[in-house]
Amino acid sequence: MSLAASQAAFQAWLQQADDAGIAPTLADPRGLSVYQNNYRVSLMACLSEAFPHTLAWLGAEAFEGAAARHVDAHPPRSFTLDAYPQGFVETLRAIW
Amino acid sequence: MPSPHFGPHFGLGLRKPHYADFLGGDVAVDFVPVDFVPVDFVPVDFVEVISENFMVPGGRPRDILRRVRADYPVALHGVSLSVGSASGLDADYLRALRALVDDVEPAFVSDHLCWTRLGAFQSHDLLPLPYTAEALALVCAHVDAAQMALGRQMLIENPSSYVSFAEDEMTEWEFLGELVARTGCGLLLDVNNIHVSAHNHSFDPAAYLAAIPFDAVRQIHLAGHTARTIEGREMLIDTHDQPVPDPVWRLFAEAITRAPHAWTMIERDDNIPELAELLAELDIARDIAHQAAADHQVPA
Repeated sequence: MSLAASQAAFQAWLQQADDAGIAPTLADPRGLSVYQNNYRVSLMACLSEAFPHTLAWLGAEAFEGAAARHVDAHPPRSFTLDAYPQGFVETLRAIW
Repeated sequence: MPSPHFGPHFGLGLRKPHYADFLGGDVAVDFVPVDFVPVDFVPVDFVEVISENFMVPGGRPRDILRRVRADYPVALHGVSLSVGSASGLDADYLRALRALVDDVEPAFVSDHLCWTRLGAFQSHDLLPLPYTAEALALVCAHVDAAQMALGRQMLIENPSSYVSFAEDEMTEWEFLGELVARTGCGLLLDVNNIHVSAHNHSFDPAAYLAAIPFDAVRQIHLAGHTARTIEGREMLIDTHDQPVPDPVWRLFAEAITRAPHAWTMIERDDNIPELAELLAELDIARDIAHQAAADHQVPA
């Protein structure tokens, strides 16, 4: 598999939890979940740190639901996580 | 080429909870802990910052970094260069990093042996590369290009990893050795990452260290990790939220013996304790380095 194809397959795992492309290329695929956990947890933590009052007001469960929906719909496109919370307000508005 | 930064240095990663310590309390009130006691000087030889946190020109972060830089040498440590991206380097990112380098005049500029970005997608995680001739050629071309764009040597850090590729054609240490030989880059050796990856991929960390070109090692990172059971298998996760454990100190003793002039630091990214606790940990590193120098009669 070319490096470009391998990285596209890895991206599909991170974003869509689709391991059909990447798992067969690995010596042992069990470590894959660490990467998906890192990806989602860092984005969710970024949103909760940027919106502490919203988190307190909505409660953890509702906030995490909204954050998870945002992570699914808006993969990060900036080199810095500082930019990631931009746009979360629109997701919140769409839900409530 | 000998290091221009001769002699051992001991430092810390500069993190938000400690901004007030490094600036004598002269920071915005939300950075000052309620029980803050100012000191004139924090006993470190340098600080390292995450480059991306300071790459936006102007604003509060850049001002804080400039003022810290007035009192302490700074190393820039990046997480988003993505030298392993199959979609190429990001020219805008490199321009912003160059501007930061020109502003801060850092002792070192580093990033990781990994990929983080594919096209417009940014994972914000250090993703693993297959250790193949194809990946090596690509990483070498990107490190060359980055060194040209920055006008200086880069250091490349060994990552922690949780999967390896069936098509691997060489070990990580062989990959790094070739990278150094072909590009003239330096190495940032994270001895915690060696311990973590050695456990996860069942290799001998001593074999790793034995093969590293230590003349190229300019920086050493120390950190902790967490054990987790994943589908019946115990894996070590590079959480950087724990004190440095004994096996990592043992690897450090070997590394600092072979690279006695490397700049060493504690890299704590999460569960960040009071500065005094990290300074005490840094004293252990000083003791180990001192002992290593005495044992091997290396001028320190």
